[in-house]
Amino acid sequence: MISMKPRYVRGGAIVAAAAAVCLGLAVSADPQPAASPDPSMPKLADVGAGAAAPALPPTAQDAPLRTLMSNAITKHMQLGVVHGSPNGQKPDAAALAHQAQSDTADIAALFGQSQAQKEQAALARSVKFQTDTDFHVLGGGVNDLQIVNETITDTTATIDATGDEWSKFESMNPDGSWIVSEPHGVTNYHFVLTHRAGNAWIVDSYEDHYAPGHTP
Amino acid sequence: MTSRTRALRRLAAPLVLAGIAVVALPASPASAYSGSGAAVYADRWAKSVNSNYPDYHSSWWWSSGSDCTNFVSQALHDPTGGGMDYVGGSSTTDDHQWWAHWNGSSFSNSHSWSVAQDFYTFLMWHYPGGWNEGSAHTLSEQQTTYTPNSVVTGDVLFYDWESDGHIDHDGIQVGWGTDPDSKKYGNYQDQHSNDRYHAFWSLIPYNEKWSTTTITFVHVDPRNP
Repeated sequence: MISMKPRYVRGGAIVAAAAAVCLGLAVSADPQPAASPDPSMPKLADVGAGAAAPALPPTAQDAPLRTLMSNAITKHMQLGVVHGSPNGQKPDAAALAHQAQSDTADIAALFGQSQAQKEQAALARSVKFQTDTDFHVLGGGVNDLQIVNETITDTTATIDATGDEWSKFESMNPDGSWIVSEPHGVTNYHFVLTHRAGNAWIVDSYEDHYAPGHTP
Repeated sequence: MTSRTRALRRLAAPLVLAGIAVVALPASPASAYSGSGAAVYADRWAKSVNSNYPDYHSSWWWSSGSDCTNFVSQALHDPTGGGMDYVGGSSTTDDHQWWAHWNGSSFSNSHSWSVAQDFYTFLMWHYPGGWNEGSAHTLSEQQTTYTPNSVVTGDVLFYDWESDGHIDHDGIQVGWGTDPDSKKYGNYQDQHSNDRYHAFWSLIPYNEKWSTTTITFVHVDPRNP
């Protein structure tokens, strides 16, 4: 019989991955903020708001989980990306269709059923807008993904993480010129992972929100 | 003009109420809201901080480094900007009110002054306030060169990064041209938090979460006193 008791829980401070702490929202916690911050007041990380939540020391189990999460985020950010497609023009339709097939296979390997459906819908949107509009996705992913809170059982892992998410794309100006954009921002993630047969983890669900103070 | 004169007395004549020095921030002018005035203010202060008002740039726990709404509120209100009157002044949590005060040692303000969601609620609740002029969500909508015709200089753009119904950010539309940073042409806005001057209105060049973002347009009624 499988025990659902957590094998271990690390990271006491809950990261506000749900992003309730957005632009100025935390002001509501203090109706009368001071003009000059009192140095004795707790900083964001101290109260678990997540922007600067310290990463947990890595364990042996963390490495594969972090790899899986990074791969899942990268796949999400690169849905419909035709690698090697030249800048300054829309991706070739046949190459786009081929990429969509490849992405579909990757989605099945990385995500559980519910999340896979969302990713599949995102893939369809990516293909459509790259076909219909003057927009070309060039890449995306996450750098320096760090686990800041985790609860792991034999069958489930619930993990809060933070990383620098990026996207790269080009779009056309009214004068016909293409401009490349490469936005990035610190993002807080909340993952739920499950074990599937073969001892592999998959991503059941994940949420991502800009970390406080890291909006565009 | 009288109101602007009053504004100059902002720091000159502290009132003593119940033993606490209370000084009003730039006084409420009597003229109607000027979108072009708000844009002038926003351009002036897009990359700097007006010490006459609170500053929420720092990532202290109550602000999360989020000065966006405080900045747009200033642009709408300041006598050198939009000139829109404060509303109320007694409650920090009532979104029917919109104000900022200096009490001699610290600033205080209504949540509607500094929190995006509350500011949106204030503009919707207040009369004449603001008018929801629709939203942009799809890629093609966010890529559109110009905002809708009903959205003019001095109007407010609200951003919901996840399209979850919770407004996360705002900026003020100030004109059109080429965004100096992204080189993207179209209507542009000024904003704080991540301080930007003449940023493309949808922020798509700066937003890696563009695929899930919704931008809501709010026209600020020029009849606002």
